Amino acid sequence: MRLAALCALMFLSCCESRPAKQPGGKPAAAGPAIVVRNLDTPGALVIENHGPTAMLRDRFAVESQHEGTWEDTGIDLELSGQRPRGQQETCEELRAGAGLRPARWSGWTCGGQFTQPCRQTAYIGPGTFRFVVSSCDGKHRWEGPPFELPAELPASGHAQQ
Amino acid sequence: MQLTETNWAMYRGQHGTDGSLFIQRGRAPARVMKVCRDIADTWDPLFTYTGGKHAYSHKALPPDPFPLSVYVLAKDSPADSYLVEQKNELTEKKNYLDEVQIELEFCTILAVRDPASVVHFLAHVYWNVRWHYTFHPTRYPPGGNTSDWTVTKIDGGTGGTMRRFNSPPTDRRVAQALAAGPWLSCNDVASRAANAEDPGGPGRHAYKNRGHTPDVRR
Repeated sequence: MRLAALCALMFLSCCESRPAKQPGGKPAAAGPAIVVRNLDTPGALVIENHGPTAMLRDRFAVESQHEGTWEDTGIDLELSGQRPRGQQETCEELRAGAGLRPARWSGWTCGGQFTQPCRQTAYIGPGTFRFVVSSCDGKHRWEGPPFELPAELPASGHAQQ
Repeated sequence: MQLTETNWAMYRGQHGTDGSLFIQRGRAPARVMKVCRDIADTWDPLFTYTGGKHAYSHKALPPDPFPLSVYVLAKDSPADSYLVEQKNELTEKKNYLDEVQIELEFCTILAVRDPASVVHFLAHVYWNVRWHYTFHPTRYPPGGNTSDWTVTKIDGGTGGTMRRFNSPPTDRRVAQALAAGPWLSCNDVASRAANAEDPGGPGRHAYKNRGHTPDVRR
């Protein structure tokens, strides 16, 4: 009895770990499949959806690498277009097969994507950084590959598109 | 800390009946706070930038015995901008940038936090940057080329100064700003002021007369 019960439990746990099947025997559609891809210019990126339509947080993060670990810089960048500062976050839909090209980040903590009033702004290069895109519900995050920011740009390097 | 700000722009139409616009960003109601904390993010209410543990301006001192010699480099690049043309909502005509004055005054404080999280102010620097320019199109309508504009610097209104003190600040405004209570970063204050110049906003004043001379102190 005990051996049979043990086998049954093992069978159940085994099956539950496999993806559920739709009628017809085809595997269920995969979850969100967002790819963050760096472009040649440091700070430029594209975001591609290789899966079903996804709802993304309308801002994405910048992480910096230090001694092998990644840390959030606290810089939030806009997925598409410049929004008034202080405006609450919204969700942005990215359809299956579609892509987004956010404005390039220049490495500045303020005005890094768009010309905007800045009283405190710092260039946080040189260093290794990556972009992180999140789903609107916060359940998924997609990390881009690392890229290098060069040594400090001239002061006029704010918000280079 | 940012202590004061002068920030306004004047626009004028090509013809007398095209009107004028006065944009005031440096005074209430557009500027919601006089003194603000000049920090890059809101993670830490005091230190300039605390992105990650290895931040740009937040460094751990070595655990060596006192006295300690520490080299500190502070950098900042405050910036602002105005559109070169806007539509006057009273005349429905384009008005062109005519004059801009921006003056920003800061007090940058060298602060350390001890293991008990008590913050000590060790030194400070008062510094300011100023711009005062007039603009005049060389042709109408002006395009995006620099040759489309005559830009004239007003001497005395453009430049910057600084003075360093090897002591904690005693400025009452600094103490008030550092006291607990609702606060905004200076970037937030500046952005809200810029948003206030949208049509209908409290920082925007439209006139039917091209030659209107506003009181820039208001």
